[in-house]
Amino acid sequence: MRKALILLFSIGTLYVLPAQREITISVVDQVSGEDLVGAYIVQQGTANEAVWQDDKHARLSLQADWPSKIITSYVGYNVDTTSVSLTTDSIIISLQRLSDLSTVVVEGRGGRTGADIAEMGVVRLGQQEIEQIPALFGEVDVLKAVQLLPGIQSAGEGNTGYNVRGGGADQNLVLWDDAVIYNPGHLLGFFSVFNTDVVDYSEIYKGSPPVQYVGRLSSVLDVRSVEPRKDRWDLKADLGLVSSKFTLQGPIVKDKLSVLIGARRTYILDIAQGFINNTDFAGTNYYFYDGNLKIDWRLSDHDQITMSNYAGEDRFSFRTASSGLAFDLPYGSSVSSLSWRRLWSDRTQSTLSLTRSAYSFELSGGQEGFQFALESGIRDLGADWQLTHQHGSHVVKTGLSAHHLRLTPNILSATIEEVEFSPRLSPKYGLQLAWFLEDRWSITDRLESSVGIRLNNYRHIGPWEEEGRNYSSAETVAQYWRPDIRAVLRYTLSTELVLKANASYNHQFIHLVSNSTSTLPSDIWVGSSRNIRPQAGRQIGLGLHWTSTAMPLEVILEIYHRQLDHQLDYADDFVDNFAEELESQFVRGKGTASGIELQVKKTKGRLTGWLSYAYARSFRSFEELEQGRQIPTVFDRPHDAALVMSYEINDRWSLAGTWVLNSGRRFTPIDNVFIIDRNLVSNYGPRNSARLETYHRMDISATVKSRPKKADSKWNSQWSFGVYNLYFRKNTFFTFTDFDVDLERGAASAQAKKIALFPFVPFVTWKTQLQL
Amino acid sequence: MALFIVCCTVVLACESDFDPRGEEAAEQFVVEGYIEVGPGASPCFVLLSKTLDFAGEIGLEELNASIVREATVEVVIGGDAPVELISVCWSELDTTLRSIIEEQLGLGSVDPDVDICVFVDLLGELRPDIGDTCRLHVNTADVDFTSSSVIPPYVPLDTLYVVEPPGEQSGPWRQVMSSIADPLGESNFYRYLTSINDGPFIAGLATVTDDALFDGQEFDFTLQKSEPPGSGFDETFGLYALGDTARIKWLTIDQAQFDFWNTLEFGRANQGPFSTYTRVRGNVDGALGVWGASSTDIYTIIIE
Repeated sequence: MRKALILLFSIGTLYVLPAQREITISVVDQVSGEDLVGAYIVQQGTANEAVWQDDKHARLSLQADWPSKIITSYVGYNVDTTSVSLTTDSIIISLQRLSDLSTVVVEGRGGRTGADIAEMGVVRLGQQEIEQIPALFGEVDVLKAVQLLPGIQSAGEGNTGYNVRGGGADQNLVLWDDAVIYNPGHLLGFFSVFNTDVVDYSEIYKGSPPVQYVGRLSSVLDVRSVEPRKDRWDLKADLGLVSSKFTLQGPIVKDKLSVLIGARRTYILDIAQGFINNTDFAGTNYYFYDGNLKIDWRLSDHDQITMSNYAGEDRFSFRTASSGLAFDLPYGSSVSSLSWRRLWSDRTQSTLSLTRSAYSFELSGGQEGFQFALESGIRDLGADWQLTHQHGSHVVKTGLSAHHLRLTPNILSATIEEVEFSPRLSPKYGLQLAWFLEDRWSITDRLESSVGIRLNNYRHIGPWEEEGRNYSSAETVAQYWRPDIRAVLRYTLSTELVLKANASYNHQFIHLVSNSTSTLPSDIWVGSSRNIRPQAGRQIGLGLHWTSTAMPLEVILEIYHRQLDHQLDYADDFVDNFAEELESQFVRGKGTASGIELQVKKTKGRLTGWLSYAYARSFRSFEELEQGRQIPTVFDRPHDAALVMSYEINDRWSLAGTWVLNSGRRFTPIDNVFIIDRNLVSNYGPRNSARLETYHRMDISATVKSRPKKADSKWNSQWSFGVYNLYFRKNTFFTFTDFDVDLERGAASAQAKKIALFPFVPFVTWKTQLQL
Repeated sequence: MALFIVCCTVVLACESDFDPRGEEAAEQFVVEGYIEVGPGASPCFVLLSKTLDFAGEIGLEELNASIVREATVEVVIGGDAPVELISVCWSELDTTLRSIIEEQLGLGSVDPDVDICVFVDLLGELRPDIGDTCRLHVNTADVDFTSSSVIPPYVPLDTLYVVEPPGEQSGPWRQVMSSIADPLGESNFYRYLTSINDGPFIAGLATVTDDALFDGQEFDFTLQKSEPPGSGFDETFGLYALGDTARIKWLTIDQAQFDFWNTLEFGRANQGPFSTYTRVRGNVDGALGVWGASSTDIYTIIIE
């Protein structure tokens, strides 16, 4: 923070120091080319210093005694000294990673929101910050951590699904090392696919993501894995109540080629197998597992190749011996990326990524002569190329993107004895092409802009049969050209105050419409087609970033308004019959969302954390529903507050706590009931016109680190204890109705119940790290 | 330890009462009417009622207040003249007559204090046939409701037969099977009800299906015993007891009636975590409910 203030101060004084000149600096990892956020820069022999606050460039005011030297340092990297000439006005400095340090120490807490960048609604969370947040069953999670940020709401109790600024869950792009994760949840969304031991950091863009990202209307969550150590082998293991995991990383060829292997598995029902196997349900089990493999190869000082793989699966098996009923429900994701990063010069770098992302859901089973199988999913084969070049006060990014999609709807097949029932539906294919260009321009010392355009072409391609015509493989059935435009302005009002504004217009070509209150593994991705137009979003926003010069305190205030076109939802009499194309069952409409978000952060000291509050509204309207009435979304929860605190008592002990409060979730009320066929039936009122009670909850945890026996001990461990929902708040997880009609008795009853889950859940985890 | 924590979580999970009502809603009329063709056909009848408040226990007073007794109910078949259905209220009938009507209409027995009124083709004036469009017109309290439904061709079941149920323990329980040859081409919609030992025909939890997945195919399938909503699930669910006489009322229905039952049953089953509401898709203009035309037959089998 102090460094940021110095930077701001130095920017502010440029006007009154004509003998000084400004130089624009970017700092990157020498091999990977990745931005080294937080790098400290100082002109040798002077007090002129700056900190690169985010993935943009820093400005350093130099005294006029040219030529001079710039000293650049960053935790975990060698200090670099670079000479700059009189003609130099911008420079990219490459730092070499130190061999005896593995992880970047992130200073401060509460995510990096970057006052000094022309970017709004962006927050970066490091591994340490994520791990300090108390979590359900002690399973710390990236996706639950981001839900504590203003403007991001959980899709449900303990759920990893989330809604950003009034957008649907499908409007969030989730990336793992450049590859798209299409379903980031395990166990119905209670856990995410991200093993935090493998996560380096995550960066979320709310509302208006940069044009380099493939289209989503509401947010981009870019999660990056740890770069494997190249100096020594490290083993990390976590034992939890629900799952255990390990991470092994180290060099295959020292300083050149390194590997990381991570794995995780749950075992709750494994433990109970002894009991289950003595019941009618012998053979019933549930578990999930996932694994990570990353290989990092530094080909030269300028080239780095990284291969990152993730594969995970949930597997539920159900058996009943007495009825002979059995089914298996496996679902999961697998993603792979192969990236080549090259530094062409100190001003130019490029990245080429080849990715494969897949998500599949299957349900198969039967009873004696009856067998069935249901499958759905998505597969995405992508190639993305990006070039970044710095010229003067401009940093220009351009790139190309091509993704081939296979979208499999629910395909049901069944057999009864020898009779086969063939599926009617077949996969759809899509091709998503894009070119983008972005220019970040320091117009003046106070004014900076970021303007980008992305030209998208989405095609529904064959093989496909429609209206009696057969389209061959790769033949275009329907296509859309859509431009995305985005502009962000940053203006420095004073050393403490920065004003930002943005406007964007972007599109989304694949859609996931859920007929549930949350995200489910059975949800289906649907591509744009002749009948489904791409979703479109327009957003304007205004932000104020105040950084205290007296205290390690930051305040970020942002206000936005969004308009959404071609929104999809299910009609309220939708029944999934597995035989019709889903797109024929959608209603189409418009949406609006607006809100104001406030975050106050304390970034240094023993006590760190943040307090956030957002007031936001979100509506949709569909001509086919309730005469086009403005319908609040299920996630229209106006008040959203979170308090996240962490306190380091001493070197060994630390405490952490979170408290969240949200307006209750919307639901569709029952106006009254009626009797049909001797049974009561609900007659529902206007969609989402009622609200559950306010949601709030407090979680706490304490962490104690082992006392090292020797200063150079190669082993350390820590215990974490905590409680999820400390004060037994009975937050409604779901509701249901219970009807009973007995005309013989002349009586009936209509009851509704609500279920509160996780009222008080203690947890304990043990982590250990061993240097091999 | 882990299992202990999970068990504690489950045990501590709390269920409590919940008021699902929104703002005060207006009362609505409800129509339940059927017109059938075939050997198993009941006389055409219509029940009229009003919605009930979602208010926990619903007693005799509320039930009786919800029944509509004053109305003009007319049915028109094709281009025929309208036939006005006759109002028959339980309070006007003696016990014997009431039982006969309850049985004929498949209504099941009703508390004598519940004064049900049914509008029925008592004189058998309506003579619908396959393919006929049957139009319903109701006027009550100066409000009109209309609907129409087409009687579809009947698709019969083949022979019924009894088999041991799947699984390890069959005991005194058996499963009823049948087969069907679904006509290729036009969409067909089916519904069935079951009756045990001359009891009333009861609808189960999932009584309807279309032929979207088996158009034009012939196959054997299970006819589960209807378990009314609220019945618990156990290993005997849907099975018939040895010695019972089972009757299956098999109907082919039109799409509007299928949509009504399909949405009703899907909405009833779609409860629990993450589920949303499903609005029942009625086919009566101006009211809730269903006006269903069908062709039907009744099959009897002794479980042995």
